[in-house]
Amino acid sequence: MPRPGFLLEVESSSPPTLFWHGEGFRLERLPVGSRVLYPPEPLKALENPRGAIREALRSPVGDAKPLEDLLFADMKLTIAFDDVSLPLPAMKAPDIRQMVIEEVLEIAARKGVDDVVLIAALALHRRMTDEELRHCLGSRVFDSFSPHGLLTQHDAEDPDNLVHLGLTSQGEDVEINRRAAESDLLVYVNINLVAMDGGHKSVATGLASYKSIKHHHNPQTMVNSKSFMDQHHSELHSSNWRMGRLIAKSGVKVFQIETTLNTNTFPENFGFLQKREWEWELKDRLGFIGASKLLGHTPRRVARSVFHSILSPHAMTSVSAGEVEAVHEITTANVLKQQNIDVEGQSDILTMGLPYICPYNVNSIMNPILVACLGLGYFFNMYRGRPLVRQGGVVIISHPTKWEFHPVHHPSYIDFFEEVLADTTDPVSISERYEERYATDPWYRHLYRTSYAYHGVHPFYMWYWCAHALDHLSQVIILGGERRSVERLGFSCASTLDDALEIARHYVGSSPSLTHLHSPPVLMANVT
Amino acid sequence: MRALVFERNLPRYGLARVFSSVSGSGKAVSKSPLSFQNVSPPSVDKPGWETVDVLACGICGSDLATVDAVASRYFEDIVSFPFIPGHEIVARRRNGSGDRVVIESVLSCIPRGIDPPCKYCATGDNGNCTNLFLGSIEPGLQIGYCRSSGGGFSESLCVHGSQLYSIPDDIGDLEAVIIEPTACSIHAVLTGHISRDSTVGVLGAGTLGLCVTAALRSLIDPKTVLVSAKYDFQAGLARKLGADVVCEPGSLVRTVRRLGSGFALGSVKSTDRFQNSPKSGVPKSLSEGCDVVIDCLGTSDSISTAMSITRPKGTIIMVGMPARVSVDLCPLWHREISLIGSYAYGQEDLSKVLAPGFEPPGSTYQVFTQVSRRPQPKMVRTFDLAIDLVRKSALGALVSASYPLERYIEAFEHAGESARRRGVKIALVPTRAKKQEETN
Repeated sequence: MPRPGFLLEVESSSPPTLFWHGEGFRLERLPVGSRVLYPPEPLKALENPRGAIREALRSPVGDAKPLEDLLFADMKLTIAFDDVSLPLPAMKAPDIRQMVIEEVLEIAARKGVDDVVLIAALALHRRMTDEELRHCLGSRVFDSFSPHGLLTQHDAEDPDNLVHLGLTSQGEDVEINRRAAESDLLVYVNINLVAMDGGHKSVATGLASYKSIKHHHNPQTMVNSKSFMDQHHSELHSSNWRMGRLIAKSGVKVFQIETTLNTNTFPENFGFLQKREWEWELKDRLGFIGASKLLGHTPRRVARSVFHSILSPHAMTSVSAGEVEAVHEITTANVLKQQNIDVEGQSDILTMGLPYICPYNVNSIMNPILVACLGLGYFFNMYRGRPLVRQGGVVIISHPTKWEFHPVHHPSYIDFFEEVLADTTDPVSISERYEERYATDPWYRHLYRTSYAYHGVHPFYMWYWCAHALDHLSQVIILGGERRSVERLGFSCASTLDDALEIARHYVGSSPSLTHLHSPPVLMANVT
Repeated sequence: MRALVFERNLPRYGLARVFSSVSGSGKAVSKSPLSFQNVSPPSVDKPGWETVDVLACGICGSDLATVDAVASRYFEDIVSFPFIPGHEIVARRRNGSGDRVVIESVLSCIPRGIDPPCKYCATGDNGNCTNLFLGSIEPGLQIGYCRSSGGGFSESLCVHGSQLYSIPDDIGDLEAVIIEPTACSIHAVLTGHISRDSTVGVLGAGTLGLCVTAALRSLIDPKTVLVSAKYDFQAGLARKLGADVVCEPGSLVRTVRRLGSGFALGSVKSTDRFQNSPKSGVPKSLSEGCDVVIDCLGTSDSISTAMSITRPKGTIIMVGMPARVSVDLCPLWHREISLIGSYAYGQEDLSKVLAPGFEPPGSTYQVFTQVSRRPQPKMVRTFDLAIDLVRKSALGALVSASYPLERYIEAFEHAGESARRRGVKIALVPTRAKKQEETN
């Protein structure tokens, strides 16, 4: 029986706490009385995932017929799937998407469906490489579809392959992939890593254009999503739901398949990353020491390569299929079942160690903008109720935050960092003064469409993810960060935790309370 | 008199080249053919020539190139050894007036007593003089490279009256050192290739880059002036002098692209993981770019960069003195870019001054016309514009430090790493003048 999440109160005898630090780790002694939030242990995986998938397809939830009944010869079937940003890290083969899509295709073949197209739901993310697609879909699917041009990637800048379905009650444009919209059935294959994923967001964002996405990816929406991981208090969620309902009303028939994962995130040789420090056994200690020493003497480029080659032993804990909202309700409950931890009260300071990876740097570099996004966008928002840190509090993030960018994946990020953040860090001002130029820049558009670049507007969205935290906090301190890049972000830099706490006291008083988010693996704090 | 003398000495020249390439610019002076000597004062007994006492003289990039032994061999036939370097000269006349003057150092037909002058000198374009090795004095493109005249790194030298420009009282001796490089900068800016609508890139934010920036803003006022500056203090100065955008050299190509919204060409389609070597991802060239790029550095890298950020049919103006460079000229050919040189100064066409509200410097113009050969309507001597610009933009502040002549080794070392030490222009001052300067 896996143990639930745990809230440790640090005592003088407590061992040091492990902080992720990019492609490395730090062991820090937190002040006595600090709280450390440990994620729940991994739930038991489904014993027969393929069987569970088949059953889900046979017994859909909500107002939906079994998949088999929705398929017929001569129909146009489109299968869209989450892109490389999920799950994190990439999972060991077979990937969930492979298993689900193989089952869907088998039924389609039985029913004589010939016109089948697969679409990677990129939204404004970079295109996936063939290697990544093959890993995600498996060789059988990849080799059957890719050579014939039937394995496609959504292009949010292809006017010929977008269709405008109308405006929501709030005047939001809904413009999505034409092939998906004009198919007799759109099957969406999702992986839910965090509570924000899935639901109507899958199609309304994953297959949408900039014109559509900009309605909910903006500072106002983000500030009003408290948090965007909590669908009942998320304007991001509400906007996507309005769009999703309009999509359904427009006659687009979506058959949603959602899956959840357990928190078994790292392979056995990195087992210490998933254990509570006082429970480390000899092999965990040796693993930590070995990894730390090795990484300390390894060029960052090599260390990065090593980390990105890690394949997660994530396992599927649930699969549901059918009508979008009904499916997502079950999915969200399963996500919370795995990730939830109840916490009483906020603290003055929230500390977190950021790993080498976030959804937008798979096989890539975690640049400073992504550091901010992962810390203040994702980790800060991993709450329901109230943030873990009080209004006017301080967040301390441990990460090297090097002035490094992947020039192929993140070209507009480089310019955003050089030009925009040098001018202002205010999300609203940034949005008003710079977004349109970057979003419509022909070079970025070209790279997004033909190379492997994130859309020109993407760094803006990453910064907007931080809007709620920036609005809520009085200061952000990067522990062990590169000074010039931290300053460019508008944050403070500290070389030791003691220094960071000293800086923080300036904002939150001399005896601050502190909570440490011991993640990943992912957890979701229910703060009362 | 005491002076720095540069002799033809190949072994020392070779030694200086090796040393400077290892130790850095300005560090090879003691190994070079330059030495501090007691020499007979120069004397040119020809009509119009006179002796002036040096008050200060700036160390130019070309002086550094000479002592670093990296200057182009192109000059070999238009210099005469041994010579006293130094051409950014501020001096005092001995003719009884006691006037302080700056010196237009080009030794053209007029100082050489060649009459009729060559067709360039006849129209006031002394910088293009074709007779630099003829006439009544030894070969030498400028004072500072001619055995007959002497040079600025000394206590006195000989000059022709046509080369002199009075310094207004409100410009100090050291401040006046910046007038000569300002004149070079103005000459580059007024080539006629820059319009009010132009986006102009300036490569480098040393003396020339900063003076060019000031000249652009003051004389043309183009739409955008973009300056690449290596150091923060240079960036601050560039902004103060009128740059709209300042960036680090490493981000120049991206910055220009952002201004023009064109495409960048380079290694951007690769799927290699973790491309994080310093140069990866730096776009190689742009589909669009600056209308005009003014290269104040004159190196292989700067010329290549200039080509990569200049739009098709645009213009690169080279104002920094180059030497032997290795450059792929294919972009120049393919994009039909004009590469033009800009040497020294002479006479400027006022119709090319486009900045609204610009007032030509009337009084200094009158002083000059007395010695000029044939001033033309709407023409003005570059030095007159330079004096005016130095006053208006307070460019004298760019002179960062001065050294007594005998401490020339320190001075050259400082000049070689001036930017790293938050300096711009370094000057040498004869001891007599230095004492006077301290008294003042």
